[in-house]
Amino acid sequence: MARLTVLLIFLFSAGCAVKAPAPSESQSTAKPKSGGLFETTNTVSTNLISNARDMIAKDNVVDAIVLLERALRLDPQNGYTWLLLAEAELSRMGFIRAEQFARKAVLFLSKMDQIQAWRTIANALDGRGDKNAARSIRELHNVR
Amino acid sequence: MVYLDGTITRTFEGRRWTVPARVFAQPLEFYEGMGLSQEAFLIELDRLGYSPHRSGEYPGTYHIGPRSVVVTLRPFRFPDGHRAAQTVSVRFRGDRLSRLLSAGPTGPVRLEPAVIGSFFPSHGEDRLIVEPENTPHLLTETLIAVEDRNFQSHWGFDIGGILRALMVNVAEGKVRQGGSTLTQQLVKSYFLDNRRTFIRKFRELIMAIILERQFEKEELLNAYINEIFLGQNGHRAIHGFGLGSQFYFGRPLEELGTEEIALLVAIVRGPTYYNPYRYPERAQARRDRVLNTMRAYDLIDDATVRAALANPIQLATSRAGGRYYPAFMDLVRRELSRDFDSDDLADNGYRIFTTLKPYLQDAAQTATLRTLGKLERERNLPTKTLEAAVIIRHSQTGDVHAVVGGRTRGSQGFNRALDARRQVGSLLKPVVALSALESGHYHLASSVDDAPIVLPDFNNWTPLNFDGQFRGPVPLIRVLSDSLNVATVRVGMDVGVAKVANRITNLTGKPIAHPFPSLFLGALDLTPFEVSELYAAFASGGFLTPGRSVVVVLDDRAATLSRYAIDVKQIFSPDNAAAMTRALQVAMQRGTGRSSQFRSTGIAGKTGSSDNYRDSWVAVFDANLLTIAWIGKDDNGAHGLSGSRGALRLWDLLAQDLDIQSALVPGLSNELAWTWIDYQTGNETTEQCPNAVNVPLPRSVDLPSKIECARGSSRRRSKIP
Repeated sequence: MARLTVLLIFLFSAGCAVKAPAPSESQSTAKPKSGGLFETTNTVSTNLISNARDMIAKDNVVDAIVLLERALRLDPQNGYTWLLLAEAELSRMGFIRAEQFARKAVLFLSKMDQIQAWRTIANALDGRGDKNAARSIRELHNVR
Repeated sequence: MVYLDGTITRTFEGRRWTVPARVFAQPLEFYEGMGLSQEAFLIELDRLGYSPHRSGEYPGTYHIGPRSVVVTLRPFRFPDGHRAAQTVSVRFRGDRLSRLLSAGPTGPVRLEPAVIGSFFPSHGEDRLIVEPENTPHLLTETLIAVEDRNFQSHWGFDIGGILRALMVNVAEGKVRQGGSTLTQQLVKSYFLDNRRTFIRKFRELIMAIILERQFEKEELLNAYINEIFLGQNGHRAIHGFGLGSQFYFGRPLEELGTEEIALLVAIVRGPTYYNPYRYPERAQARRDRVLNTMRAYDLIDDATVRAALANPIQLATSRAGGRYYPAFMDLVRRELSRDFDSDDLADNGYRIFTTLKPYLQDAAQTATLRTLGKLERERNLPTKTLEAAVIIRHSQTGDVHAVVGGRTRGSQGFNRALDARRQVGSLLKPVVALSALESGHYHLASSVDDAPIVLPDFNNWTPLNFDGQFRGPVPLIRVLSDSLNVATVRVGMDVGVAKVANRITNLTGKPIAHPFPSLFLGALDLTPFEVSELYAAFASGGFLTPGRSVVVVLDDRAATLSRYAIDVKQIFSPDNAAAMTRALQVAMQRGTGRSSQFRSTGIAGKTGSSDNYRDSWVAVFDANLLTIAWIGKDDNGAHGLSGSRGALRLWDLLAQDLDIQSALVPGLSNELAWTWIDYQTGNETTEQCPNAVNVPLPRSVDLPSKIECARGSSRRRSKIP
C-alpha cells in the first residue's frame, strides 16, 4: 500500500504539471511517442485515467482496471495507462500481469519515464520471489 | 380446480421468462479531435435506429443544424455503470470531430452498443423484457381497445365479447374476430398448446378466471406485453413488444410513434398473416383499422390519426435487434463455452459485451464479396468458386473486431476463419527470420547465399525459388521480404528445425509433432485465427496477445459473472521485435507486398501462398489493426492466385475504409542503431541511394561499404523512413 501511495503521489504531481493539446486519433497512434510520459498523456483518456487513479486510491482496484482497459481501447499506445494498469495489478498481488503490463509500458515510454516501469517490473519480480531477477533489473536500469 | 389453482398461481408467481443472452458490439466512443466524419457519425446513429427530429432533444433522436449535430443519447447500462439519457452537440471539420459539447461529464462519450445477436434456447424464444414504467400508455390503451375492450372489468372471460365476435363471424361467413380476452390469450401462450379442442378451450377459460382472481390487472397486462408472439425470424421466435419494437423498427418501444404502435397491435392478431415484411399491404390495412379504433376510443385526435394514416409502413432495413454476424458470434460462443453451458446463455437474460466493431465487420464483408467477385471474373472462374476468411483484431489489445467466415453474408455455415486449416506457405518465414535473429548469429544485413541446396538427410529435398532463379548472396531482410525459398531453408537449417518449430508452437499454441525442413516454407496447416495469433506477437512489439471477443458477461441484474481482461506476455525482445517489424514493413514496401497501394504508409506484413497456388494469404498490421485474409477453394483445388494477387487485393480494398497508421516499431536498446543498408546486397549505404533501407542493426556489426553512395557514415540513430 505504501508503494502504491508513493506511486500515486508521483503520478498525481506529474499529471497536474501538463496541459496536453487536444488529441486526435491519428496523432495518438501514428508513431511511437517520443516525448516524456506526462507530456504525451492523451486527453482522450485523461478523464478515465484520473477516475481510475481515484478508484485505486480508494482500493477499488477491480473497477479501476475496467476503466483503464477502456482508456487503453481509446489510446492503446499510452504507456502511462499500461503502467497504471501494471500498478493496479501489483496492488492486488497480480505479480505476473503487473510485470507484463509494465514491460508493455516500456514500449511506449520515453527512456526517462521507463524507469518507473522498470521499478514496477522489479517490484513484481520481488513479489514473485525472484529476488535475483529483481536485483539485476534494478542494477541494469539504475532503479533505486 | 384446487389443483389447477395452486399450479397456475405457483407457476405464474414464480414466472421467469426465457430471456436469451443478448450480445452487444463494442460501443463507439467519440471525443474532440477524433478522426470521424459527420457522415460516418450519422451512419453509426442510423445503425442504432436513431431518427431525425426537429430538435434532437428526445432520446434516440438527432437534429442536423447548420454548424453541428445535436443528438440525445439513450440511457444505457454499461458494464461500468448506468448512463442516463444525455444530449450532446457535435461539430465536424472535414473528417474530424472538432467540437463536442455535453451536459454530462467531460471526456469521451459513448453511443450505446449495437445488439449483434442472442443465444436462443432450442425452442427459439427471444424477447426483451419491458417493465410497466417503460411501456407507452398508448400501447396498453390500444391493446385493450382492439383486443379486449372490457379488460378492466371482466373476470378473465367476456361473454359480451364472445357474442359480439360470434355475430361478426356469422355475418361475414368467416372468422374475423376472436372472443378471447387478453387474459385468455396470455393463458394460451403461457400454459397451453395450439390445439383447437373444446377441452383446451375450457381449460383456458378456467385458468383465465384463476389468474384474474389471483393477480392484479396491471400484472397481467405486463405479462401479456412480454409474452405475446409477434413474429418469426428463421429459428428465432419474436416474443413481446420490447423485442417486437426492435425487430420491426430497430428502436426501443418507448420511442415508437402512433402508427408504429398501431402496427405492432395489428400484428398481434396474426403475426404470420400480417407479417409486414412479407405482406405490407395487408399489414397496413390492418394497421389503419387499428388507428381508426384508436380514434374511435379517443386515444388519439383527428390530426394525429390523419397524419398516421398518411404514413406508409416503414420497417427497419436491417431487421435490427438485430444485425447478426454469425461468424463472430461463433467465436463468442466458443469463448464462452469454457465458462458457461448453453442453457445458461439461452435462458438467463445475460448481457454479453464483445469487441466487435460493426463498421469494420461490414467493411470486411463488403471487401470480401467484391474481391471474390472481381477475381472470379478476371480469371474466368465460375461464380462462387472462391471462398475467403478474414480476421481483424487490435494489434495491442487482442480485441477481435471482425470475423468473416465465408462469402455468404449472415449465413451460419462453415466458419473458415476458425475452422479451415490450410497450408500457410510463406507466412511462416518471419518465424524463421526471428529464430535466426534470436540465435545471435544473424542480423537483418547478414549475408545468406541464395544458391542451390540439397538436403541429403531429408530425402535429397531440393527446394526452389518461386521463379526457379538463384540470386547469390543476399541480406536476411531481402530473404524475408522477397520470400526467397532457398535462402530461407539455408537459414532455417543453420538455426535448426526444432528451434523454428518451437517458436511456431510458442506463438500459435499449436504443437508440431514431427517438424521437417519443409516447415521453413510453410508446410503447416493453420486456421486464419491461428495465423492471427502468430502475427499478433509481431504486431504488438513482441508480446503474445491472445485474441478475445468477449469483454464481460453480466447477469440480468448487471452483476459481473465473468470478465475477460486484456492479457499480454512478452515473448521476444523489443530489439528483435523492432527488427522484425521493420523487416515486415520492407516486405510490404519493396517485397512481395509491394503491389499494395498502401505500401508507403508504414504497414507491415507478409504474403503467402501454398503449393500450386491453392491458398492465397496475407497478414498485415499497422499500429492499431492486424488483419489476416485467406482466399481459396473449399475443395482445396488450385486457383492460381498468389498471396499478392488474391488476399492482398482483398486487404487493399478493405484498407480504403481504415485509418492506416504506421506499424509500431519499438525503441531500440543501446546495443542497436538505425542503419542505412542496400536492400540488394546488405552493404552499408546512405539514405540517398535508390535501394537504401533503414534497419536496426547491432552497433558491433561492421558492414562492407557501398562506395558510390556512402557519403560519410550513416551509422546513426535516425528516424524511421
